[in-house]
Amino acid sequence: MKELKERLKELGGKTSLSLSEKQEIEEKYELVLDMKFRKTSCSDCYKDAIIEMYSYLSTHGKCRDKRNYKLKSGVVIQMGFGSPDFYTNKNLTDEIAEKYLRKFPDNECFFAILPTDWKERIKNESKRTKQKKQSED
Amino acid sequence: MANTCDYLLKQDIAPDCKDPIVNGVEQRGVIINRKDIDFGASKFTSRSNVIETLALLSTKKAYEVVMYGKTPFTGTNTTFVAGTYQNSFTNTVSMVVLDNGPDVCENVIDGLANGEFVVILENKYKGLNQEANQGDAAFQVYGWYQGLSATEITNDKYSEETDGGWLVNLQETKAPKSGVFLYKTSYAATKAAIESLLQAAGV
Repeated sequence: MKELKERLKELGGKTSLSLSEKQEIEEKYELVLDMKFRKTSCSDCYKDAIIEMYSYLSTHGKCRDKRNYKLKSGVVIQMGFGSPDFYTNKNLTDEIAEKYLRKFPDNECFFAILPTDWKERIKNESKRTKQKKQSED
Repeated sequence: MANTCDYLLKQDIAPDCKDPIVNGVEQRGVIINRKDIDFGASKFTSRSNVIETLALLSTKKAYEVVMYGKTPFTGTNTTFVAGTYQNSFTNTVSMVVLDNGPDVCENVIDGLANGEFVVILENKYKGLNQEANQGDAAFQVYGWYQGLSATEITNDKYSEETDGGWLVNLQETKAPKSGVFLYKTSYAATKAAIESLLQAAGV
């Protein structure tokens, strides 16, 4: 982890990046954030990616866990109509995805990737939540 | 057979003094290969011209279109067309590709010449001060019904406007609705949806 952060710092300090360094950033982006790097017309997109990775590692102290659920491009999910909290692939976690699918199982079609046993998982999660509530009472 | 369409006027025709309309579109838009849209997962709201989810097929993504200048996407318009039994609209989206070379020709121009597309442009008028559905006028979708296809692609080496780049006109004919908008409960959520279109869900 320390090495990775050091390398990001080093790459971030460079005034210009070689083709291989750009490729390295793209690979690290996928490793750290579990998302594909998006090449845009923005000239600073590689620097932005380094900052994004560095701040994620500083906040969480680890790379993002590989997620079992991913939304299709263009999909935003909300737990309720007009809720200020909304999720895209950028901030989606397995926990949020399962919570959403428990509430809206018909919207399975919004997911590009989901585990084959997702129906079981959301049932088990419901049981665990109920048990937790009962033990708290 | 479906119910009879009523086609009635449902609102007063008067400008909104609190939120006056302004012309033009923002410099950044999004273009999608129409065949990459997951129509099965895309959903309209209860309003017949508002899409709340525009989903792409797994591994597919949209592409950014950036136009500089004071009047980006100049020539973009919607016009009424009278038909024998049903009237319709023609949507035209104009763009300039300020680049030329083998990669641009292969990856952009040849694709534009032969494909069908959906384009999302952000209006400068967004309707953010409305009482309800704030921001629902921001993102307008062109090509949803029939797809936009090229009607003109020109590369004029001495053009003052394009500086030797490409001028592209895309057109959708026989669209049954005067306008289709992308809106997911708020401007911020819709903007997030647009951003997520630009990133393929890595499979």
